[in-house]
Amino acid sequence: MLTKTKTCALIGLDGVIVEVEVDISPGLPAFTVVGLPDTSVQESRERVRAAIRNSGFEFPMRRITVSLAPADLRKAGPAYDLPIAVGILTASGQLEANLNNSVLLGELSLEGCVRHTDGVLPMVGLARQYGMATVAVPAAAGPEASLVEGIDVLGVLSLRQLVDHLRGDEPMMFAVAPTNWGHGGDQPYPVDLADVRGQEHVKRAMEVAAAGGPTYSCRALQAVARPCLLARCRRSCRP
Amino acid sequence: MSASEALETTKLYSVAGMLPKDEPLLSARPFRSPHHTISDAALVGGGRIPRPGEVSLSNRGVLFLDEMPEFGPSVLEVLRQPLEDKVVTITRVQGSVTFPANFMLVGAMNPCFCGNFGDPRKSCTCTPSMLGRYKKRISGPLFDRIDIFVEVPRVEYEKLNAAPSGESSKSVRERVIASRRIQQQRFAGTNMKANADMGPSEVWEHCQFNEAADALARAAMERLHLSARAFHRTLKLARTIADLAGEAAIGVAHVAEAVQYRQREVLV
Repeated sequence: MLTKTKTCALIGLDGVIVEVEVDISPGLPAFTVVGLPDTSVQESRERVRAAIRNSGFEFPMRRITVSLAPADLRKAGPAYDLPIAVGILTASGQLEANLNNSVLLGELSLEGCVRHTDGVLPMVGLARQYGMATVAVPAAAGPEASLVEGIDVLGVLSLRQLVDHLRGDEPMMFAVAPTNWGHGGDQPYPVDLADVRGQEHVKRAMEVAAAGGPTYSCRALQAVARPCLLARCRRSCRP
Repeated sequence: MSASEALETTKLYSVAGMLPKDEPLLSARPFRSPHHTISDAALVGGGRIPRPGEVSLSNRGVLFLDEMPEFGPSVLEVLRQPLEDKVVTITRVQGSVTFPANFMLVGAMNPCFCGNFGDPRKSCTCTPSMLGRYKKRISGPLFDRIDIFVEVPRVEYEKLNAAPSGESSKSVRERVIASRRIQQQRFAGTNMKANADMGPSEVWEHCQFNEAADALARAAMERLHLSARAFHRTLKLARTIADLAGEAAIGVAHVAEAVQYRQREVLV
C-alpha cells in the first residue's frame, strides 16, 4: 500500500515541501530510502525501526521503499524520522489519518520520543506559506513554532502521542505562542556607562553609532577601557 | 528590536541550532565577538548545506572584532559584501543561499605592534616599516566602509580615581530611542528603519543642509580625499547627529562632528 506524508527541506532560510512517499509491497524484508538522502537521513531507517517497535507498534517485515520528493534536492538532517515513521504506520494499516494538509517534523529516539531538530521556525513558516493547516513539531520546539501565525502547531513528545492524537483517542492541544517575550530591552543594565571614567568622546561615538542603525561601524584605537565600554554599549544601545 | 527584526534573527538562530531553549523569540539584539582565529566560512557561513555564519548570527545586532589586524586577510575581506549589501550570498556546488547579514561592525585594534604609537607618555618602538605593515593588514576598501573612527587614549589618574561623573546608560538610551523614533517617522511606509539604510536618492532627499555646512562638507571632501561612498556615509552620519540633537536641519556642527569621525589618516 502507498501513503504520502509531508515535511520540509530547508535551503538557507527558504525551502520546499518534501513529499515522503512510503510503499510497502510483498517481498523479502527490506527498508530503502531514495531521493538523495545524506548519511543522517539514511540512518533514520534504524531510528524509525526501533522507534516504531518500542512505541508498541509492529514494524512490517515486508519490502518498504521510502521516496523523498523532489528527488533532485539533497536531503539532510534527522527531521525526516517522524514523517517516515508515520508514513510506515499508515501504509501498514496501523493508522488511518488524513495527512494531506499536515507537515511533520522531528527526530525520533529509539524509544519513540520526538527530539528537537534545527530550523523548525523557518520550516513552519514555509508550511504556512504553502497553505498547510497543521504542523507537528517536537515538543521542545513548540514555543518557537507557535510564533508563526495562521497555522496550528502540535508540540509532540512521542510517536505514540502523535498516533493517539491522529486516531482521535487522545486529542492534543495546539501550542500557543509564548507571551513573555519582547522584553529584552527592559532588562536592567549589569554595567552602566556612568561607571566608565573619562573617554567621553568614545561614549558619544557609541551613541551616534547606536542611533544611526545597524550598519554604522566604528573602530577604536588603543582601546584601554574597550571591553568594558563595549559591554556597556551592548546594553545601552538597544533601541 | 521590532517584531519583524526579531523574527528574522530568530529564524537564523533556529537554522543554526543555536536558539536558547528558554527564549523561543530573541528579543535582545545579538552581540557576537568571534576570536581572531575564525575561518572565512565560520564568519560568513558555509558548509555543504550552508549554515549561517557570525555575520548572520549578529544580524540586527553587533559583530565585534577584537584585535582586528590579527584576523586573517581573507577573513576580513569577506566582510565587504555583507557590509555593503546587508545580506550574504554563499554559493556551493548545490546552489546558492542568501542569509540576512544586517549587522553593526565594531572593531578594535592597537595603533601599532608595540601598542604605544600616539601615546604622549610612552614612546613607540616600532620601525616605520613595521607601522606600515600593521596598517596594511586592513585594506583600504574595508576602511572605506567604516564610518566612525575613535581613538581611545590613556585615562589619567585624576579621572580614573574620581567619582563617576558620566551620563547613565538610561539617559543615553532615551536619546537614542528618541532619534530612532524621528527616523522611523521619516521612513514610514518604506522598508528602511534607520538612517544607515538610506540609499543615494534618500540621502539626496533627507540630507540637505545650509550654505555654511555645505562649505564645510566641500572642504572636508577635498581635504580628506573622500570617496563617493565615504562622502555619502558622512552625510548619513551628519543626519543621525542632527536627529540626536532633535533638529530637522543639518547644521555646521553636525557636519563637523560627522567629518571628525572619518579622520583615520590622522590616527594611523
